[in-house]
Amino acid sequence: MTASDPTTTTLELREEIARLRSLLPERVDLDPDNIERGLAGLVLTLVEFLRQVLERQAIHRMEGGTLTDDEVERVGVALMRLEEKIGELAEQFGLDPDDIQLRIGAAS
Amino acid sequence: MTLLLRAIVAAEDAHVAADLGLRTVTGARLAALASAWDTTGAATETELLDHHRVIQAVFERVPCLPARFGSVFVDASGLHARLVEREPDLAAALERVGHRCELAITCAWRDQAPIAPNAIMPASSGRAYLERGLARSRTARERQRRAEEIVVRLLGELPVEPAFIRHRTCPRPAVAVSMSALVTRDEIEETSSRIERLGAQLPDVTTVVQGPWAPYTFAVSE
Repeated sequence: MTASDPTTTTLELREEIARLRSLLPERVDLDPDNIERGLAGLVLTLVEFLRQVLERQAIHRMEGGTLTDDEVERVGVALMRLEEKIGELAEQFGLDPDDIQLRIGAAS
Repeated sequence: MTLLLRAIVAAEDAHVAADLGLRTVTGARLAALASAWDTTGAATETELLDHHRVIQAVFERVPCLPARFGSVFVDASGLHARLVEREPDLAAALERVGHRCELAITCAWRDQAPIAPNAIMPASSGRAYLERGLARSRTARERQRRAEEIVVRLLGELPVEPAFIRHRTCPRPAVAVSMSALVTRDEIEETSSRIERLGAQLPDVTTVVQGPWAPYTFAVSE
């Protein structure tokens, strides 16, 4: 992807949004005794999905040479820290990070 | 009495229920075979395996549509109402797939190591993190390409029309291809042999054929 290729970028983003829609349940089943955990799982799945989208975009731009060295480093650190934080939050809520990946993978 | 639906059969085949200790709810053309069900608690692995065992027992006797585990009805009246409502679709599905057997074909990667091992780097920096992602992406693309090649080879060996084949490429990191094929009982042995011979020619995957099973993947959902 280059800065002069907005059509490709738009198409890729639309495809990602279509995948995102398939992650969302038609109705939200909330167990009254476990609402926090259920919502946390839903939110973390969405955040992880967006993180993966951003990572793919960043890799695409790094491959295409449209990021400076400084931008590559800053974006990489930000995504790495976000991934770590998602893992920490999943652990705090008793969620298995693999389950989050499975939900995203099932939507592929 | 709460009922767990096990399978749908033709009305004239409902007699198998007695042999298997199942209850029968009969419509105009079809019959639903079910078990009394205690709804308390979450389903256990034993119950899931038992569901498969019951369906296989039905399928070995008569054509059937397997029910997804958890298709529970408050009572026989509720099951009957649902059966009547869906009878045309279910009858068409039973005629189309009920007498066929499902073979599950799994091709697992032999080598779990990445294709480009020298591209994997510890994430000691932001750049290293992205480059690791790039390496993963390239590996995934290469594996996807190879999995699609394997699908083409498999499809060439299956004496089955496309409507009776379902497949996924790279459904899990360890698996290249997951395929389900509906075959007639006469075709089971030859098809399994052909796939196993092909599998021996694929150096990068281990190919396993499982079944024959009832047509789980191809039956209409409840």
